[in-house]
Amino acid sequence: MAILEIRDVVYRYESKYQTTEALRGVRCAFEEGKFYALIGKSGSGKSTLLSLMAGLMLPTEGEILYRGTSTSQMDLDRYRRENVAVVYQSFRLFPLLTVEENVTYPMELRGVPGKEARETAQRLIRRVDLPDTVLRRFPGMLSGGEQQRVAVARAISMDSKLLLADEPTGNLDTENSDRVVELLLSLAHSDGYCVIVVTHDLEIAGRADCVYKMRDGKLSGMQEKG
Amino acid sequence: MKKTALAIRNGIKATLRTPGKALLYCCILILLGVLTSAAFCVNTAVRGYLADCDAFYHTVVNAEYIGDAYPETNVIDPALTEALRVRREGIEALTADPSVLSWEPAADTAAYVTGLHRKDRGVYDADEAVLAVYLLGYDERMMAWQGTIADVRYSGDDASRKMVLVCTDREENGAGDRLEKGRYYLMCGRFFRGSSSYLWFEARETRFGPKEAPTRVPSFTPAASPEEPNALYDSLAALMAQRNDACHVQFTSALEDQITFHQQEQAITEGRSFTAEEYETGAKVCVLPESMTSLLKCGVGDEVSLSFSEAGGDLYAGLLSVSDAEPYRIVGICSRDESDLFRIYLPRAAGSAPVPSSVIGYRLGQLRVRNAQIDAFLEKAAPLEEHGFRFTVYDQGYGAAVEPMLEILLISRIFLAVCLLLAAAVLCLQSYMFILRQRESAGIMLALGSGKGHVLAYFLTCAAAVSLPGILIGCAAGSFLDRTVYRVLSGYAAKAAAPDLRYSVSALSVTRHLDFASGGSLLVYAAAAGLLLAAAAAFTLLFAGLCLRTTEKKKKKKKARTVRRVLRASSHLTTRLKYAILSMRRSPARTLAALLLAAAVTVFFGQLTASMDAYHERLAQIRESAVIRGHATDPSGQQVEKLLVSASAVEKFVDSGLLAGSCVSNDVCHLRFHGIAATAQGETRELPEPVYPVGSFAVETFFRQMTFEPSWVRTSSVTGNGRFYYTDPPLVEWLDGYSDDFSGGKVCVIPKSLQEEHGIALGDTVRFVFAITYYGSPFIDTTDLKVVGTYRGGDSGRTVFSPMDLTELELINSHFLGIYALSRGYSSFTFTLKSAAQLDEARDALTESGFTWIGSGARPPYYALLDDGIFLSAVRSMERQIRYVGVMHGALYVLAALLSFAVAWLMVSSRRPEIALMRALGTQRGRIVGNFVFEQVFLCALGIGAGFLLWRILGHMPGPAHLALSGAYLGIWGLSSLLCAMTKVRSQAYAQLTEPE
Repeated sequence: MAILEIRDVVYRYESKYQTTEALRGVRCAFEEGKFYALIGKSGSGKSTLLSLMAGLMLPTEGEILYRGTSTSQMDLDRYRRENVAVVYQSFRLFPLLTVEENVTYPMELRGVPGKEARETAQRLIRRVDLPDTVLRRFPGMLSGGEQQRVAVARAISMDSKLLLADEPTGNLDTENSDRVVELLLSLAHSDGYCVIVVTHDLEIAGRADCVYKMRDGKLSGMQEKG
Repeated sequence: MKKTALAIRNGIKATLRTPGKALLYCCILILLGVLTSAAFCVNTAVRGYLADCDAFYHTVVNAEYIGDAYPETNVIDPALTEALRVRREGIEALTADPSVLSWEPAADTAAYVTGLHRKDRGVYDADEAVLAVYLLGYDERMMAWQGTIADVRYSGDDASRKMVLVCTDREENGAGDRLEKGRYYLMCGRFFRGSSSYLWFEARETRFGPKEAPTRVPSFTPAASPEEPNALYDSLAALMAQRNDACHVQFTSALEDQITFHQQEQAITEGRSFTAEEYETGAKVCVLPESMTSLLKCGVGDEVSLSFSEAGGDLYAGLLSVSDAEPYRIVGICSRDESDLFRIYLPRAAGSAPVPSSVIGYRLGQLRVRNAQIDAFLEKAAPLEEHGFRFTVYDQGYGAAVEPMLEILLISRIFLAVCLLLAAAVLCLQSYMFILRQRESAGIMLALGSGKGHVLAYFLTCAAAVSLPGILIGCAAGSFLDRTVYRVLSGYAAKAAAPDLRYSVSALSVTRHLDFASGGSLLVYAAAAGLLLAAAAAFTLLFAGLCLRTTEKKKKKKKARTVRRVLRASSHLTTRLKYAILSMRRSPARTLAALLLAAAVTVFFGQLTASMDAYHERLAQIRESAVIRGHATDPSGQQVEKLLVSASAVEKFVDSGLLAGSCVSNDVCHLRFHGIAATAQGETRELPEPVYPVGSFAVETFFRQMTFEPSWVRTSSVTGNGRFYYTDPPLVEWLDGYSDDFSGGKVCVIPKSLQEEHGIALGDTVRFVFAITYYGSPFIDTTDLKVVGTYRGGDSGRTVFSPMDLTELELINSHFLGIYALSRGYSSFTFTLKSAAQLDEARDALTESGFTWIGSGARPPYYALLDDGIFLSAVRSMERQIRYVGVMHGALYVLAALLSFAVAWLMVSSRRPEIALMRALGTQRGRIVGNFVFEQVFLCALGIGAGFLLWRILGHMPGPAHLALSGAYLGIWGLSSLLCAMTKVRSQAYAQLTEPE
């Protein structure tokens, strides 16, 4: 069963002067244990689709089903808190919280006791190949690759099987990009996550289990490995 | 709950992890908390004190009429009666004015107190009597009957068994009876206690009862024995007893506000005053003076029987019959009033007090006016003052006590407004710094599913972490400082409340003192803290709301714009001026804003300094144009004439050179017109010798009759004479060659009425009969005075004026008057100061000359009074306005300085990437700072120049203060630019270049 299913989703940006249709009847499905890549030109609707999948907004038409339940019938805050994790191109870490606090934040939101959350954070930091010493540091003191790996650690701390990544390597050099992609692949294949990556990088797309191409707000094609 | 705790924890952490910023804002808020709470508390304390003052001080206005009979207190002045009739509407409107709390007309009436027999000289007519006289015979030499007083039916004095000289104006009375030797007669009339050593009794017909049908009592009637009853004479004796034993009764609705009590000349010494209920119901209670209770041998709780005059209060003349005696309980005993030993006070209930049919004396009554509205009241009373009415204010020192406090109140309000404005600005900035700059964090929280409530809790915690301790510590510190603040306030108030009021008409009232009680309470500080915290919460929520609405789209646009600007800036690094001009051209909006701000501030400064100059100019005008008069006076500060003023004191004061004009005068005696001795054309007329009185009684009578003739006054100026001090100066028609500063010995200025009555022409020489007493000896003679002027107005023609040098000539066959005048001084001295600006010097000169001010207790008591009330009021009002405007201007200057500092800082601060790029390109720090400061100063100077140009176009020239203020603005702008540039240039260039917007 698909963890996430997109059914005929249409999304329009409406303003006083114009209406832009960003998505026009997108239909697709995502399963756990797979690494998906969502590629397309700028303005093709990738980020909009990611935002809808992340529960940051609701589709104008159609629906997005998470494990068979439409997001429009769910509390979006709770959905974001418990069911979906997002990694952004610009890392989006709390600059005034330490790495440990950044990672424990989602857990504490869910009510995980502090001590347990800190132990988990330590484990996750190791999981993303970072030393324990970074736990006490602030994000501003880390390199871009390290920050992105902290962001991934925070994402997987959410105990959700759906992980979305918006250009996760956009701000990283090749070496760091590879490490992050490896991490995401490992999460999909070893830990059973459904990882959906929005990217321009065809190399990443080439390593994905399934690639969705987007054009003018529609899925223009799908390419599945093997 | 856990989510909220997480938000709070993270909020506190976020705040603590920017310690520099947090500490800076916390310190600013502590300072603002101290200032705001102090301003709050000063405001509350002063308002409380003002309310206390309003209850403590009572402003009473004594209403009088300066008429023909002024200053007589026991006669009915027809001019006053007429003025009351003509000005009735004006008086009614004034007494019904909202500023008036109560109006108590001089509702004097009379009451007969059973058992009280007065022996003092304050009775109506101590000399009237009803006697039984045994006639011994007619004394040819004295031209009077000699007799023995056999029985006294009524006399104010103990006259029994005394020899008396009886005279009647007629030898027989109306019944045709003639006086005969060796018989008893009942007689009515009055004793005559003139300057002679004999006891004279003038028997005369007396009438009493209603005017329409009075009961007539003949001057004498034979009696078989001294004790023989006679209903008519006994009734008259009883009436005389009632009339002379009667006391003044004052109905009042506020005993403490009666002038004598208000001025602390009288006080309740035993018992109490009236209660509100007694006032309301008109209870049968009374307050008696101790002079009366000691005579009646009664005390508090006892009762006295009072019978009131039924004639409607026409105090004496109308005391024809009295009401039935009613018991009144004594609730209080007051100290004696020296001017009226037997005045009884009763509560006035609406409609219960007998209303007098006419005012006796010159006092109309008194008004209790709202303390704070006395100026408004006097303004409304001014039209009546032009017609002889006079309103004297007794405020117990309220004005002096309240004046500085009102200033403090206003200044504290301005201060509070500035503090609140600054607090709002700081809280706004704090919210911006701590919230809007954490938009990204808010976005992450939302993306992680925190919810808006959680984000708001986080931001509120961030704001509270700084503002809560800052404000609470500030307000707590303010509460610890309050004693010091109040001490400073009290000191200032005490200093300001003691202006130099020597000789001032403003210091006539007795002064009470109310301590400034601090009104500081924790509640006020809590309220101040609450207000600031509420503002902090409001700004937090506002910015949190804004933060939650921020869109990614805007951020993208801004980022693109910044990159372009940085790139452009990198290509122009030549000379400072070129760089400055290029930089200004590159950012026209920013440049225009700075230019317009500088120009607007310059024009604004011009307006402020111009308005201040206008105030100072107006004050100088008041000081220059005001005319301050003054006069010698009596201990109450009321009298202008009939005084005894030291001639040497007057001469010294006149010699001080501070006077524009002065007038002295001396009352000589009374003059009776005898005839025209010579016409203006030189024709001499034979006049009969005047009939001189023969015999002591005739001389006494003549002297008495002369008092009804015009007064003869020597004066140095007719128009400036004290007689006209409170009225319009008279219109004088002068004979050619004479003017107001007239001299020339035997000349005079007569009233128009006298001229018309006797057909006197200007230039005629008139013969007057005069009578004076010198060391007890009567002296009657005639004098010829040339009429050199006539006057109309003033005192209805009751005075003949002669020049002061009159006595230096041998004018009345004697030099008595000259000796008298030179040895005793003057009876009146009025003067006008040369300049109101020399008021202080005039006060000193008065003291040095030997004068003293009322209440000083100095000896000898040659009192003087300066009529400076209006001047001081105008000057104080203008000075107060100048101080207020000064404080407001000060606050505006501070705000302009802060604005200048903040805007200049932002102008430089917003160009951090540019600075970073210059650093990255290897520009020296000093050069970067120099470039930016030069650019900012150049820009500001251009704006100020434009402002001056605009100010000139508007028709003004910049003054020194304007130039200085504009210079200060430029200086602050430059300083702020320098500090900001120095700060920014020290930051890591890389950090600035890569810092997200």
